[in-house]
Amino acid sequence: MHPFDKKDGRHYNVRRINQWFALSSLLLLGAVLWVVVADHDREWKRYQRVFQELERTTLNAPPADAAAGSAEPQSEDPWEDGFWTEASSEAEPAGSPATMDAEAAPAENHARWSRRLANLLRDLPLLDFAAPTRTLDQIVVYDLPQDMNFAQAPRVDRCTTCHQGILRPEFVNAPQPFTTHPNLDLFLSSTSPHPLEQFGCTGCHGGRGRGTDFVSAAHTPADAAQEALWRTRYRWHPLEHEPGKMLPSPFAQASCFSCHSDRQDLPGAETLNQGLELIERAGCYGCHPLPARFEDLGTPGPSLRHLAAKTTPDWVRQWLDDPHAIRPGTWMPQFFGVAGERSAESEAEIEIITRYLFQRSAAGQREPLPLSGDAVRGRELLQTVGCLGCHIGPGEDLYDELSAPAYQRRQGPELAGLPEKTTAAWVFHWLKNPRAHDAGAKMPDLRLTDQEAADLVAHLMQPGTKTIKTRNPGSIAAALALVAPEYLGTSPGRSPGPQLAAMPLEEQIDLVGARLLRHYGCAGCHEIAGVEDALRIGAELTEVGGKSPHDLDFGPVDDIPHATYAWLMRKVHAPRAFQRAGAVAPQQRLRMPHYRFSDEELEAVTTALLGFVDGHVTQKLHEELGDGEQRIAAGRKLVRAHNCRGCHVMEATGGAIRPTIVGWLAASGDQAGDAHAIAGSFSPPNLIGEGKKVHAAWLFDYLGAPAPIRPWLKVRMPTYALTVAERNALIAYFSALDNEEFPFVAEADAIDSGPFHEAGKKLFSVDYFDCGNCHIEGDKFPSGSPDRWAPDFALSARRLKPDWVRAWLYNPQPLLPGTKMPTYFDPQYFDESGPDDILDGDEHQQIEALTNYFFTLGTGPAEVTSEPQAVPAPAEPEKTEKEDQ
Amino acid sequence: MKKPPRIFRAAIIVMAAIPAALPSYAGTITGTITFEGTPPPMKPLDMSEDAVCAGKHQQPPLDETLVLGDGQTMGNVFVRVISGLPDKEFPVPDEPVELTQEGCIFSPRVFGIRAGQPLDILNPDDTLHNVHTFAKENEAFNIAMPKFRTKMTKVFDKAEDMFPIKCDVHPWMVAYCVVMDHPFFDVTAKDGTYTLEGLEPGTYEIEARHERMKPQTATVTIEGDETKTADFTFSR
Repeated sequence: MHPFDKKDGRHYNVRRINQWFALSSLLLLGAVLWVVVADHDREWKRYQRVFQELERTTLNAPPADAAAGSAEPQSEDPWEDGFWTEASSEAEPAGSPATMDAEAAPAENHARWSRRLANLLRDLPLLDFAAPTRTLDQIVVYDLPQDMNFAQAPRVDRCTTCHQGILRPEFVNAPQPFTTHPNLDLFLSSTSPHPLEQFGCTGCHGGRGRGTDFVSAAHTPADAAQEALWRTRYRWHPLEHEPGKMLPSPFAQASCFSCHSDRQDLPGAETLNQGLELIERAGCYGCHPLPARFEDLGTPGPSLRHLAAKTTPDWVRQWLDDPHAIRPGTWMPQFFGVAGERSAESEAEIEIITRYLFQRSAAGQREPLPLSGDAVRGRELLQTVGCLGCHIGPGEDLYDELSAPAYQRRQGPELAGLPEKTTAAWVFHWLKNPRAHDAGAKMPDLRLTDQEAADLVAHLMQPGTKTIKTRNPGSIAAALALVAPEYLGTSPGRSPGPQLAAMPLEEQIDLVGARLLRHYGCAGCHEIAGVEDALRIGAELTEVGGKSPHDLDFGPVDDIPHATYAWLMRKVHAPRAFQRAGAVAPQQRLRMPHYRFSDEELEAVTTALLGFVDGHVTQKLHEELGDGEQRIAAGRKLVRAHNCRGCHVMEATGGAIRPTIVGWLAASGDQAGDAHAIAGSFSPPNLIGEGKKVHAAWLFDYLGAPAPIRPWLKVRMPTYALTVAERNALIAYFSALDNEEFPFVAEADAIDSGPFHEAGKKLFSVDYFDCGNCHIEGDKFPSGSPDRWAPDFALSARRLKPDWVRAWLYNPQPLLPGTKMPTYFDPQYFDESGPDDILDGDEHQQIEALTNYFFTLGTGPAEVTSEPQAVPAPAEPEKTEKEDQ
Repeated sequence: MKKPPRIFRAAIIVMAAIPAALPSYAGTITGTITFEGTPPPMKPLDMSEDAVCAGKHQQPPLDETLVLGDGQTMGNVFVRVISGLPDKEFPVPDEPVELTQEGCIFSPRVFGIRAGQPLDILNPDDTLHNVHTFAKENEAFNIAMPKFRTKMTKVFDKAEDMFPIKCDVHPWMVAYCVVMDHPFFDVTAKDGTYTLEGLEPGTYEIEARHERMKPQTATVTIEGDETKTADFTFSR
């Protein structure tokens, strides 16, 4: 018997226990080895290994080939099997020593090889505890804390562990995850406004910063195709319980808003800007409480208090049924038949709402059209006077365009289909004074004469192709009987029938109609008598971007990812998609109407919504605007509200009207061939450098009562009903844009006698610069047609700042590219450009003399409004307007 | 495309500077350009707003948008080779192209100039002109030419398609300029003929372009020292 088998009073078998010991120690050894191997082969270490090789080849490659060399992997996509393919990882190191041998000195080469060997040793399994070259990189961000079970913990981002090239411009063409971050001047680099150490990664991109592999970092695919790819390539699956999933790349700009919400637009974040603009234009704030920038915008839709004076019940019925059928570009959304629920009930609701609106709005006195107009002249006026800065004219089709100019031209309704909607007399009176009809009208006053208004009416009221169906409205009593129980009854069993039936019909319509209007939130966008006190009906969206998908009702929808972004996008695209089948009562039904956004617009709106997050996370990094920036932001809000960019180029964008001016020039006779070239001269002025150019006090007056400055322009600055505060905000905005002091102005000290004055006068004269050839001087007018006249000196002296005038005389082209004002002092031959017989031929002195003389011209009484009557030419529309007002 | 090393560039310049070293070719393309249809009447220009301009003409001059000769041959049509030329640089002449504003009319109305070739702009009129170019590739300029400045010289650096040059003081004044990077272009006179000379054998695409009408192209193959004809017909 083997000694081990002896029991010797023990209760256990020694042999057996030794076997167990042996087995478990083997298992333990195996586990230890497994730990070592698994640790050595962690996903991020594999990425780092590949990156080290990539780094060697990229850095060793000769500079000229660097771009080509690093571009190569991108085209081949080395990540085909989820990891760097053998061929690409081995080919590169094999190739690189050869180039090194050829170029490097032997000593340097030797050092490089020994460094490689040392690095190899440092990363060997079991030795790598000491000082490995491959380490976990992490950034601790204190300024953007994370909510961890109600505690505010610093954010820890380990993204750079794999995204190794993120800060290094030479990896711009490297494959992911090594690609350089776009725009390092703006992001991540230590000199940028968003340094990596301060902002980390997940503060903007979302995701699980502590994750160290592809799945645990909570990457989110951008679309279904990418998801399918990731599932096979990275064994990706959504992290169900991770609240902070990464934002898919198309929505990355959402995060900009969380810190920059005080700005009105953010250069570079074009998708976000577009989304914010769409939310504003579509009037989402009519129903939903939104972040502060959407406050004080007024109602998005027109007042319906005078609806009966404007249109017919038939038109309103069809409009309510499908507004896009009447006007493809309208911002009015579709309420009925959105999820295919066209039914007798919708018809009944439309009928009651229509009846209510007409019953509650004043027909007013339908004044007749005072005079008849000429449609041909009306057409020209439409093209020239400025209507097309805010409206799409009859016959134009811009609806598929998503550019900012196309939106600007959709500020007002398209002008096709007016005869079907309203009467000539109504259009006439609206054109003459929009605010008499609707005190809150956005439409400004174009100061049209009666004849001009009548001409425009004649053109706009030419019968179009659209027809409004005369629908059989059905019996209103039947409609009420169908709808009333749902909106008045509290439970299905109790019907309000008997009491309702006892009321006069008008009161019934009033009661049920008001309920319907409140239900659909109509008063959010329109001023409607009887429901002025209605509250906004939509959910608050101020923090919607931070919502967990578990707080959102996906209803029957199961074809989208279970993520907030996907929910929002579907909601905006098909607002009633999440309707559950059993919801029958009005209160159970979803009410959001359909806006028909394009795919690009959906993405933009979703991006903006995702940016609406709880502000306390970003509190420390939230951008506080300085005085000047606050003024700029306030000005931009007004500029957008009044659609100034529909006509003017401001801050390098805008001028939506310009293509229509080109079209008009091309179609009209003499200058057709050069329409593109000369359109600038006939377009509303660029407002580039306006703050530097004009006196704030002058601009303040001008905004209150505009009068023509450029007699050759047919396009007319309309009179906006701007409040004093708004005018102040606008002049402050222009000053802030140009870093001008505000409201202080430098007045010119003009010398009005003596040789210096005489020199200026001589330069002005017909023998030298002949300024009066184009410019009006008080009551002296240039010869020829007003098309080629230039601004009045007497007026301009009051309007312009001395420094600007001086710069303008040196060279007007950079201040206003394309201006008709020629350069007198050719910068190329500056010293020979002036006449030799004045002020000793000193060009600088000549410019000073001209500037001085210019300001002596403005000393007379130069009232802003005094000039137009004095102009004798009858062809100019501006001249006659005063007589009519 | 990568630029050739500096030494090669220098060599190219040196070679380009020695025309004698280059073989000369005698391939020629010629043709006549005619207008088909009823020409619109050309209105006389109304110069009444500037007495100096009006005083320079016995009777009001006609608008030169469409200049027709006998048999409706078209003047002021710009003809040039647009493709098929060998990839080399052609020497730029030093002598300037002259553009005068005599009598408040730009003359020539349509002209070609080589990139880098000086353009002398003259103001022999005793009145204020301004020369406003609407170039897109080259820097556009708008320089006043008051009475005392009778001449200025400008250079266009880059080849550019046809662009207008206008005077804002006299709205009827317009010229059309094409900046070329090779010498194979011509402008038709009233007789409608053009000639492109010195072409080496090859297949060329040529374009005829009028300021208002849609440009037309033709393909011509030259084999040796021969003269080929390519006529164009424009219509409204």
